[in-house]
Amino acid sequence: MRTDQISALASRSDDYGGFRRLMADAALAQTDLGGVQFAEVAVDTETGIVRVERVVAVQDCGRPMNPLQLESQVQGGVLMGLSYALFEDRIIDRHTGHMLNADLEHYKFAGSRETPDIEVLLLENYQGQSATDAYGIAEPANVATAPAIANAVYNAIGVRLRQLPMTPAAVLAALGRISRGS
Amino acid sequence: MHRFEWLNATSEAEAAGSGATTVASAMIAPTGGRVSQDAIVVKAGGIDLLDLMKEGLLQPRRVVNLRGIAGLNQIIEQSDGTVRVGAMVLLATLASNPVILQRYAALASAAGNSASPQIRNVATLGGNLLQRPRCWYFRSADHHCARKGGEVCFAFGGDNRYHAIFDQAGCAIVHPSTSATALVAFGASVELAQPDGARRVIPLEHFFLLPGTDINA
Repeated sequence: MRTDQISALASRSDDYGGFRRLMADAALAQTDLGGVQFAEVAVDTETGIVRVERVVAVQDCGRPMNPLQLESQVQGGVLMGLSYALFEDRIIDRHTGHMLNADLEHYKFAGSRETPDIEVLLLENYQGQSATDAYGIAEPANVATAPAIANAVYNAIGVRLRQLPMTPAAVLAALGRISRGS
Repeated sequence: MHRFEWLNATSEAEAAGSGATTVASAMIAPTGGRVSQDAIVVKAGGIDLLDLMKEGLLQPRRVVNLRGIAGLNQIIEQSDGTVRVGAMVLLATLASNPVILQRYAALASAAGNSASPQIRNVATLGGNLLQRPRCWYFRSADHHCARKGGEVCFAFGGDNRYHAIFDQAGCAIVHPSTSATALVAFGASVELAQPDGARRVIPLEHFFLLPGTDINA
């Protein structure tokens, strides 16, 4: 079905002028979709281990077509962000150039034990600029997680970590407990 | 994975007489050459063995499966007060066995915290003690390291964040078994069935050798 046919059926103009509201009441982004996330972490200053206790993810996503699936997508994005915030690291041997942890045994990532409480809040902000007012939401659910965790770690220990992943060694180095190594 | 023959051993004597070599020696290749295509190795749970085979680090001609041997999966309190644990006892069994829990809690804890539930339900104590090190140079087909017959230990001068800091001359591997640590602390011994039918009992702390020690020398 062509856009003009959909617009005719939906009794609205082709440019969605009647639906799209710039600077709308609950919009998180002016011309695109937006999201904001909050993280609560516990940092063990003896071991350097960061544990994410809770993540609240607010996501603007146009018209939710399948809210359950959408929440699941946001949860997946949060988990992926948590995983690269704390664990995922591509380790390259500096002499041979080969990746040293190119298998699921050595490449660390978040599992069920690292999964925090995830609260997803969807904003129904109908400015998707599509025939259905819906947005695609793939990567957007993932963008805010690692910065939110990094902010929470800063809030917890008072030192900024400027590199991912925030491993126990990186946390202890930031706290001045161990040397940074070479 | 390369093709290989499969033999289901039905007795300890059959397995001991199968001509099997150690996985360690079957993984040694000359520089520029291939790993042995003629080795016979034994398999318990197969967790580590099949990983090595899938990575191409081990290419045995024949795999002798121990899972069909009766009686190797038992935990028995003996009359002299010791406990005998069969080589084929699963890590999951060790972690939940009442005798182990009561008398050797550290062993139950070590076994119960190893790997993941799926692996603990297949991995055996014997295989756990005999698994190869997890050094990422040793496990990489791209690095022909000293432990596999090469010239150098890449951990020296390379990324050695998970390597040994004691007794690492020439090779900085660390044995990965947590259960072994508990067993050494409890003064455990291993009983080996030899090809000639003889039995040999060795304290576990002497069973594990430093990388530089050649048991045949």
